[in-house]
Amino acid sequence: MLIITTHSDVLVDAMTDQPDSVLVAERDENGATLTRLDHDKLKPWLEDYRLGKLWIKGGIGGTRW
Amino acid sequence: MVTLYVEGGGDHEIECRKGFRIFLEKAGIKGRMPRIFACGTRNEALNDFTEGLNRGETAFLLVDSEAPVSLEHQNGDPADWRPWDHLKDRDAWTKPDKIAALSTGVELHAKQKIETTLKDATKDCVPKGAYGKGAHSFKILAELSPSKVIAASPWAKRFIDEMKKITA
Repeated sequence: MLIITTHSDVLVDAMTDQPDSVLVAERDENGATLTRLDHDKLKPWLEDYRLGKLWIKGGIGGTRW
Repeated sequence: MVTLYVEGGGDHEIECRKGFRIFLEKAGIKGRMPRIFACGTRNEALNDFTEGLNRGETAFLLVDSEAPVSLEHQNGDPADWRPWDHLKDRDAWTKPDKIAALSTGVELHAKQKIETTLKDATKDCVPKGAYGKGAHSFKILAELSPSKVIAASPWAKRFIDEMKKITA
């Protein structure tokens, strides 16, 4: 198993065909969470956007803003 | 999770999300801060918003009115205003069916001739040059006083009130 942490949308783009391999780390007032992406839920969007682009647009969380 | 789908942000998605986030925080949105989705073009905004609804999200759409909203669409209590009627008239957009079932809505703001005026006013600025919507608008958004925006625009007040209600 290989675990990579990244802020690179290019690397996230490379996971477009296997979004289930991506865990999104976020923090809110209740603490930190790790959420695994769901390919089926993202499928309609991934017909329009690469995964990295979807991330940068704000569609999967894991962003500061 | 509430998601706010905003028109704009094209190649400036991060700046877009940052500008809106700071503006909403200054406006007093706390607790469950909405996720901000920088959609790009107007039609992309509608498509992304519709996808969000289909995913079962509590979704809001924020788009330019592009033209003054007819008085018949903004009569009486702001909660009863009909932005989708304006979008139907101007863009031939159909209100997504799922909106009726969820606490979702659309908010409008009129940009009128602001962009032209800003460009003209800053055309001789050095070194930043004339105002550019993508490059500068979101930095300006983050600097705006929400109270002044709300005082100037009843649509902005409606938007902020709804955001506060749904994120409380």
